[in-house]
Amino acid sequence: MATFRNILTAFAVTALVGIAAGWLRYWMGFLVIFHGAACAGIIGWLFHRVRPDPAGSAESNASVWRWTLPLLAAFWAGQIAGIGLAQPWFEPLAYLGGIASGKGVETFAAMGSVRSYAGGMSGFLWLFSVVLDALVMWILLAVALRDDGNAPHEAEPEGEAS
Amino acid sequence: MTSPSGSISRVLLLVMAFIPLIFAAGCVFDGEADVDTAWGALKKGDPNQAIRFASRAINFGGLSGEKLGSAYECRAAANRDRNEFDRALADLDKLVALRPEYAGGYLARGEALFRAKAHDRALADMDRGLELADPSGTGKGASLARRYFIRGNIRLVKKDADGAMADYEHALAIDPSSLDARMGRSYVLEARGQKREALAEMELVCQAASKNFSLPLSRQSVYLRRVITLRMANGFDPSKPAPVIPAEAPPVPDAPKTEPAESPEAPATPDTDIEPDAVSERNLDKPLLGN
Repeated sequence: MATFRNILTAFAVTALVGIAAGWLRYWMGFLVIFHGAACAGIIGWLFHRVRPDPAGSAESNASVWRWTLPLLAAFWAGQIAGIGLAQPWFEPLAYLGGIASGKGVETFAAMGSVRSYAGGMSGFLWLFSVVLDALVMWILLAVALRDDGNAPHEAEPEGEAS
Repeated sequence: MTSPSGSISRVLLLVMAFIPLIFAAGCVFDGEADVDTAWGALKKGDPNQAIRFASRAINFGGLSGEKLGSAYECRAAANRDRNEFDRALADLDKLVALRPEYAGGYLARGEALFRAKAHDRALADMDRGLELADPSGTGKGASLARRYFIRGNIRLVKKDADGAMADYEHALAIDPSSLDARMGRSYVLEARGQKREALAEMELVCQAASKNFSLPLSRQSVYLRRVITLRMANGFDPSKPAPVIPAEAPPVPDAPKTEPAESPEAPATPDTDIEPDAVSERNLDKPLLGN
């Protein structure tokens, strides 16, 4: 992640996944938390498949944390564009603004510990869910983009020495 | 031998390739349910959701014929409420092409054209729509009265005062409680130079409006502005009711419910456009989706 080419690749992958996520979100609704988690996983998987520079830099994992917030912004830009592309007429900001201001609703589905929820959401609750989803995505994005996924683990001691 | 990650990639690619096919085949979404949801969203005053569900029904619902027409009609109504007349007209053109014998398509397009100030085309569509919806001229119902009232407005704008008066009279014969038809009549009387009669008509409207507590304030203010203008034109104190109502004039009957309104003076707003019975309102020849 530390090299310029890798960072550029991560941004491109994130924006593309954002567009696809926005398109699907417009037609299918908002799956709270699952949406961000799934997108973070797909971005991580795609990034590691197409990254031009291989893993191995010691600085790499630290730089992931530096870049995840800008990547999240790129994801949102892509997602807004994706919503607009799905609409019959491109006006994603009016659509999202209407939901945020409480004039419209976005269909959603979410799972609690006891039951699942679905329906229409708008206003403060919608903003809270979006922030919650973004928070989860931010953390999972940092995890998914790290380099040490295939690092060999140190051999654990087989038993305590008495 | 293929590596496990290679196999997973191939499976994922295969799934991704099938997604557009699944959408296109209408396997994911229930088009009929989406059309119902779209109409429901429109009634609740959420045109964005109405457009979303209607578009989903059109693109992925696998609909055809009457149900597809209903989706276009709903999306057109949502766009009309957002004052996006070009978009509404594009959908209404498709609706009319899809169902040329459906009165609602012509009437909705006539309304949209009227608001887009294409009066000649609006009048042609209203004529055709009313011909289909009320071929004998003896139809009943507040929604039909409203269509005659709208045609009266178009004729009034086109300076056909006699034609407009005939339509307002017909609307009042169908629905005697229509305050808008009375106000339309006052416009015709004023255009003919009968200012006192026009004022008497509006005083009656204001009397009835003041007793109708369910009437939206926006409508009340339209009537009030109109009556004040006429009081001043007749030399009366604009703040007091003018003593011009003839003793033999019957009072305006109570309206059964809030009346949606549209007048040359006040363009309709979204909240006045959607009626509780919007489904039947928009389908004069038959109910939507068998409801």
